[in-house]
Amino acid sequence: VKARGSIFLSALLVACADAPDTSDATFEVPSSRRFDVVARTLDAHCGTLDCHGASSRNFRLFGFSGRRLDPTHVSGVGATTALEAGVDYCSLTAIEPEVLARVVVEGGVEPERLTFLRKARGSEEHVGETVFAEGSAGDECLVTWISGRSDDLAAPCEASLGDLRDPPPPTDGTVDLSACNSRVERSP
Amino acid sequence: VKYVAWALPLAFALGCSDPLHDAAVDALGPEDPAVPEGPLHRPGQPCLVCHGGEGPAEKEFAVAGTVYAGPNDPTPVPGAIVEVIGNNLRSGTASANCAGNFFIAVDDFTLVLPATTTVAGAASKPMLTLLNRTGSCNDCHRGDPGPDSPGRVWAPAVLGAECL
Repeated sequence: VKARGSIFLSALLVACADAPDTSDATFEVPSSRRFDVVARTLDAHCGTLDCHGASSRNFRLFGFSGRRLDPTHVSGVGATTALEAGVDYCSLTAIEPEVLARVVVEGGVEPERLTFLRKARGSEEHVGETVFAEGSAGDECLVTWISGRSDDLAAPCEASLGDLRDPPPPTDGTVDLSACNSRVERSP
Repeated sequence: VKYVAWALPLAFALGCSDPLHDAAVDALGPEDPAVPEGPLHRPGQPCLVCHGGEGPAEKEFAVAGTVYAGPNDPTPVPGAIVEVIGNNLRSGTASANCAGNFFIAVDDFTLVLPATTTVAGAASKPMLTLLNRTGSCNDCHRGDPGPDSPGRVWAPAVLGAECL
């Protein structure tokens, strides 16, 4: 099943006066179905408070290992929520939506076109160096998601956790995307 | 020509300064006048801001932090043992002193990230997440637990432990 979601990018380039109008542009991105297991992998390996779980990072993740979305939750206590997984999904798919869409449309071939995969593999400058070597379980988790094979995600994503103790997601495989479009532009 | 002679060294000096690092050091505030500068000073503060190689401290640490009696409890736990195992499976250990502070110098241990950590007081307690970017434990373990802190590094108190 190659379920593909779509992300609607509104007014991303408002500040760029000379940029083309992309206010109604849509890009096909990998499905959010079973992204909860991908989020768990990302959270454990990338989303700690000293890395992408910190508010100072431009690619930001929320969840058990790092920063919590709900101000009443505590870092390191309680599983990554469906809402946090949803924000992680939107955060990841918003990095380079055009490139991601091309990779998705072409069935996931040459996923190394994506910056986040190159960073994770350590083939591009990355302070965290190699997080998922090419072919490792974590790499397979990401590549499987990019390829749209949601039903095949569980095994590699689970294997990527190794001895880490991230609690399993309490959800039924869905992620909550309701917090993704919470930006409100103030009227001039 | 005279001004250029002054300006060049000044520009060089200013260019070598990292304003972000300087601001981070300044944000730590002054020393507690009751505690001499040394192993017992500044418990709970992010040690590697100064001891991370950029100064102003001379001693450079690979890993450092402070062990308390609970995530909400600011009572130090002297004698607690912190063990860090790097991605190369080399480990470094340190014992908490009277202030709860522990540190492993870069001369004694090279931290290869990502790393795992265990804190042992009266019982052993593994850290649930990885060290991915820094060995400065108090960078993340800031004060009480909250959405961006798991609370203090902690271990059950070691009964009868002597201060180092």
